[in-house]
Amino acid sequence: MGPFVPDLRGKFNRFLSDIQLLQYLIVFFGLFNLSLCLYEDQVGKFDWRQNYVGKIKFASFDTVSAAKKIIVATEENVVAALNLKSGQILWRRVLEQGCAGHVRALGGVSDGDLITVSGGVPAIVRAWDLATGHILNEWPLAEQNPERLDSPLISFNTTGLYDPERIEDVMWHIKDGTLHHILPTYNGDAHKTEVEVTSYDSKTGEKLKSRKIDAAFISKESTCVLAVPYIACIDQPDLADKVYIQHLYATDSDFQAIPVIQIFGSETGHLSNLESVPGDEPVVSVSRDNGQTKRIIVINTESAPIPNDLSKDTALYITTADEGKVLLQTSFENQVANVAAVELSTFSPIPNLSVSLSHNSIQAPTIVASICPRQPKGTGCRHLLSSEDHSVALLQHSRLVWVREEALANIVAVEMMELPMSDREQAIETEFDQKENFDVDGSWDVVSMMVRRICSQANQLKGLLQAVMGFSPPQSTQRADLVRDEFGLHKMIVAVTSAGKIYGIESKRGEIIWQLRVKNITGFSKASKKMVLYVQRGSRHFPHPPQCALLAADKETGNGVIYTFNPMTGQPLGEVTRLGYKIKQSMLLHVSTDDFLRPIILLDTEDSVHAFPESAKATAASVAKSVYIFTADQETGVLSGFSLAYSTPEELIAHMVWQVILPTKTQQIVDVVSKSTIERVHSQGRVLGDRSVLYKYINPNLVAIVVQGVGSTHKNTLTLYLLDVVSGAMVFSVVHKRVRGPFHVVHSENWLVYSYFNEKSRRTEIATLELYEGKTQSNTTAFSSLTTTVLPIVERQAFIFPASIEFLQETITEKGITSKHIMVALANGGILELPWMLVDPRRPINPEMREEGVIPYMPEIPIQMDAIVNYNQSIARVSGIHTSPSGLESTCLVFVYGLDLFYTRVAPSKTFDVLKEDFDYYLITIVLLALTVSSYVTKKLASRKAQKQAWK
Amino acid sequence: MNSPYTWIPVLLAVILSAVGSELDYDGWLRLRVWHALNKGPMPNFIERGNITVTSVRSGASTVAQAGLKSSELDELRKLAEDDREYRLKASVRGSSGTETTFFTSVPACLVLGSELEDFLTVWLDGAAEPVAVSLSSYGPCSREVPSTQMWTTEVQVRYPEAGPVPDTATYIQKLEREREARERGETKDNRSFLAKYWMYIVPAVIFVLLSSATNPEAGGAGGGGGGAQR
Repeated sequence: MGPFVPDLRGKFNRFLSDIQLLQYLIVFFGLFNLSLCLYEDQVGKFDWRQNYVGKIKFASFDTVSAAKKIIVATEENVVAALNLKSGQILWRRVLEQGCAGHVRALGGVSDGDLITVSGGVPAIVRAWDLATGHILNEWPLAEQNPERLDSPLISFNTTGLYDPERIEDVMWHIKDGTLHHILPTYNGDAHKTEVEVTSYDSKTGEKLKSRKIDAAFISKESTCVLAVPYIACIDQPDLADKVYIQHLYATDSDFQAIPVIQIFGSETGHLSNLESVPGDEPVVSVSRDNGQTKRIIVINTESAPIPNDLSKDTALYITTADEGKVLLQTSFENQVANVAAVELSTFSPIPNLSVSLSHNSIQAPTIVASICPRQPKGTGCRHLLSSEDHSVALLQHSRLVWVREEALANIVAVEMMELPMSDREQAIETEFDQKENFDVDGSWDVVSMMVRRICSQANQLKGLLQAVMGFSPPQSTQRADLVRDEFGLHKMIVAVTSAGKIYGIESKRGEIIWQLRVKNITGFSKASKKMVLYVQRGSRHFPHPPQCALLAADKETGNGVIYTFNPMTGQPLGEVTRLGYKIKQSMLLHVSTDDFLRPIILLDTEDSVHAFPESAKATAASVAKSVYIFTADQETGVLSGFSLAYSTPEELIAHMVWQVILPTKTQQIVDVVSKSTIERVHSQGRVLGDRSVLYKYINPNLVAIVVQGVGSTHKNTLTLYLLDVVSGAMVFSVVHKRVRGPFHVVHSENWLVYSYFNEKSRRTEIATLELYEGKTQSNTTAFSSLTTTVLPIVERQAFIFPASIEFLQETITEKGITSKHIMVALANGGILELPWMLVDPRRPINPEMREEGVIPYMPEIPIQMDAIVNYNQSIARVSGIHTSPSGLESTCLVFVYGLDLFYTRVAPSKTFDVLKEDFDYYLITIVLLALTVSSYVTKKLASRKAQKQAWK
Repeated sequence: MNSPYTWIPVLLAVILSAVGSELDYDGWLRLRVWHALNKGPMPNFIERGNITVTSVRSGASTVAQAGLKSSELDELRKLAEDDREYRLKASVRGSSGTETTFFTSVPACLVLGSELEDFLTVWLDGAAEPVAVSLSSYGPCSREVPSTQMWTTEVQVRYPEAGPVPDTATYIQKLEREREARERGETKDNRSFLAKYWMYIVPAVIFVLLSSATNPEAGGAGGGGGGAQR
């Protein structure tokens, strides 16, 4: 019994440790399973994401929290915190889109809480947690309408509130946890003009007090600015001769009036451009004679104009340093930004706070926030600069700490371009470039070819020897990694932004290679900000450099602007061409000139045609018989088609061949969607269940016109017209009732996919149209719009889509063999890869009528989580998706832009042309070798056997 | 009717293939048609005739137009020789009273090739307002003077078709039918116990067999195992 007890205990102990081990094992395997689900090793392997905030509107240094940061509110309706040291986004909150999310005021950071006012009427006040960006409080500011008593005619939706347009006149001031809502009111009667100041508790929304201050000097035309605690006004600009100043909180004080003579020292001229100088002191700047001279007024009980002239382009800011107020003047000349600091009261310069620097990304900067903390080494300032080109930079002790390219938050045009060949390949290319060696009769100049060959091979040998001996290779103009790769997966993304800045982004990691800025350009229309980017010459025509052309409008005149540049290096190719006319339509010609440049055809508002470059006119005229242009005017609803058939090599002439008018009374053109010009359709038909072929209606000139109904009776209708823009023949039209936007349309091959919001069922729907010629093909070799008169058979179907859609785009591959997928940008930040098969209009409702590869109809399209290509990396506010074919037929490159940038590649039919990563090369080599050896051996054996048999 | 032209009234009732016609009321359209036979970018329009669509819904129409003079035919032939287009201007007045002018064109050689037979399609929008008039001709392309001087015009009226809507009703019916079929199937299921649950029984049997085969004591006790004896 004695030895048995310890044995039992030992067994029990072992059992306990076994259980522990088991527990560990369970936990371990649990982890293992978890990691299997995520495929974490693939995160960021083929994709990258960049986050942006947009152009800075308000900024404030957070010096209260433990982690120092910068709080910004931007034009893109974003509130964010940036890391002080690196400029990275610590947190970012995207507010409502459009007017409902406009940030109107930001404050309270110095008190440790962040308050923002955003939206229209009613404005929304939010209190944020500084460290995490969570909303602490939110309340709507429903201010009573002071004009309501006088005017009984107030529409229903603004009852009780003031006119939504008046929100622009409201001035906001946040201080010590109190939000002041300041609104000048004028009742037409000059003596009753008042400024209404209402104070609220910024956290709870409780109305603290409201008072009215008489301000007889304000009229409807006056411009007023807030210089806390004062309000400063001038009468109608360019007629004013006095600046009026009124204290807002001391009700008993009277207003001050400062005449021109007191500010500028002379009686002449009128005042204009009254602006408040941001910063720590109530100061306003005012200029005279259309902004020729500018001076500032320091406001207090006895406001004093400072008799020093300031340049009109200087941006001003007032900061506190060493207890004194410092005026910072930022100017920009010859690509150098200067921040000059002067004592506010004496105007004596402070050299140790003045900075001058030059950086490619800092163009005409203004200081949006500045802070000068006292440090042991002496006072040093931090300035947050926001440039005209939307970039944001932090200056610390006259040194640039970081720069953020915020222009990329607003991309308007994108092209993806193949990278150039490497130097060595280019040398080989030159060797075989025998253009000048061709004689008229086709004979070759043997000697010169020989010489050239020997030269190039000697060069190659020299390069090899240098590499072997360890000499430094000759300096190359291009970066070693920016060359074309085997499969064409590495590309250059050329992105044009609304700020007129152009970026060259390398697609592997998203690094900005070059940037360019074109001054004073804007989009063609105010609403869309669209600019057009054309690739005139690709990177395959060495030694000619690749060339892109940007078409935009001049900011002042609205005339056309063309800018050409090298998309690989960012070098401008020629000056900015400012045209003397407005561009109505443009197109890239399909033929190229002798130096492989594809000319651009421009149609101006007078319907005359121009070629760019001018010298390409003859090339354009040679193909003019088959060149057609169409225009669509949103305002008049007129669509016109033009032919260039009457052109001569001296002059290009457009004449109208068709005109379609969509009456603007009942409808408005929302979008005109054509097919991608580089698209190829591989399969001409579709095999049916009975083995017959249904031929696709593939008309490259077909354009979808999306029209929204206007007016009370036709509101909430969507009409889609399919128009052949060469012949002007309408092909099909379809109307949806009780639907509203946003409408997104994808037009490709022989189908259209579009999405809309169904008002009746309150859901997003996707509809598909598919066009077929029928069982016979009208022309088997080429499609001609002019001779094909048969209307296509249109298959259609609609599906319920269980999410809100921000953008639709189809994938594109080089030869069009790979099946098409549709990239759907969802409102929740996901990018869904939706197989076209799921929206196929021929999905049968009756399962007996099945065709090959067609799924039975289901009204709802499921969103599969593994089809979201950006997994957990949400993309905020997508404004476009650019797809581009790669060198691999299976793979399509996708670039998503909006507030964030995202790049990835997708393979709609799986990577059928690429070996898997874990492909066993050794096994196949061994098998091959063994097979070869065995075949030889058996051959020997067989011959021996045959010999033996012959001897028998 | 003292004009030298011959008036050809052609009445054509075009049966519209459009499914689900959306027009709530019937209306009429009056088209005045001009054409240009000159070369050059600026068209020189001369009157061709009048067309009245008496019923927008059925597409019934009356065509009244003059034939071509031989000089005009010659001009048309010249257009065809240069691969130019024959241009047409149509001014449409609908029941609402507004008049809209449209341009359309067709290669001149197709008009000659089809012996002056052409199709004029009037497209309406959802509110029965005209949005487009397009002229087409089947051809073939010919540069010869045709045997006739008379136009043979067919007028078609088209309007937007109703957009597709998600077909939830049929789908739900289908699901219902399937469910019913399944329920019916279950009540009818009178297979034997083994036929119904063989997929559960077979693995269990295999499992029992395997475990008995690997357990030597069990095998020994059974006496039939043999080979597992040590």
